[in-house]
Amino acid sequence: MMTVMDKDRLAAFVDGELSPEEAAAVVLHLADTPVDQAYVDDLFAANEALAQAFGAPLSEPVPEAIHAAIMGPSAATNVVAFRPRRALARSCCPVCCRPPRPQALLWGRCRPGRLLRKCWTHARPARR
Amino acid sequence: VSTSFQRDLVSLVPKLRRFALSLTGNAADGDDLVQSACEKALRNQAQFQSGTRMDSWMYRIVQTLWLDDLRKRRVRGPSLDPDDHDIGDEGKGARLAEDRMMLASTAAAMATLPEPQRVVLSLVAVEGLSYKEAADVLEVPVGTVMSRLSRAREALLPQLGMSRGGRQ
Repeated sequence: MMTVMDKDRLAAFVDGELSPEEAAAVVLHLADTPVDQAYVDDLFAANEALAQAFGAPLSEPVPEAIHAAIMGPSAATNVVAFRPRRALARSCCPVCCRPPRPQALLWGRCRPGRLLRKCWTHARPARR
Repeated sequence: VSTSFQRDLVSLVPKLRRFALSLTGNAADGDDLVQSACEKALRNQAQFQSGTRMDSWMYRIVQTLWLDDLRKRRVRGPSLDPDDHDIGDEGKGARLAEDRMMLASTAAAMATLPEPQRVVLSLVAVEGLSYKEAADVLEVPVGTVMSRLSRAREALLPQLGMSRGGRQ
């Protein structure tokens, strides 16, 4: 019997809003509920598409006009390119950092405290 | 001689430009918005409480100015011509054509969302803020952030070609 989970909770999972324990419960639920897994994959994919579509300014220097507006025109002679390093996007099992389940989409970022996709070993409870 | 306030502000510019780009849908309007926001921040420097987060404060200024601007003169919508997106973009014409197409189609999808939903989606999905941080920026309850986010995604996912799941 498959029961779907509240969409807001799935969204909170994708947005990294759940505690590790809550997120672990969602991971277990997803393993048994393909329709929710597909929805979560869509949410990850949408977040990634948005971040990518608008991400260009992060690797561009500060435009001179804006730099001058902040620092005053005299300081604008030597504008240094500001290149913050983009957070390394990777997708891995938060337990062992191995690649996620093969059919999982490679969306989402792995950060401490943020439970994403688990590998085969950790995605499901041990079966006897 | 620059103050630390000015230096902190400059270091926030890349993120503010990304946020503004996601709101306005094109680089030229986005940069105008960021510049006005920085000018306003400098004028109102005294209102900034040191020790609080400057990024939240700046996100708030950017979105307030954007909404004011829209209200005053319903500005031209995001241009669908991908070439327009490179105006004022400091010679970044090298950006791949695919990236420009992706920006154009995603911006067009974003433009269909009501402004408050667009702001929340940008803060959470593009800027990576937590619900609580987004709620602080907008000075609304966390529940409001969640409901706007959910409505925004409801409308946006099908437009981005992502609704395979059947959970609609």
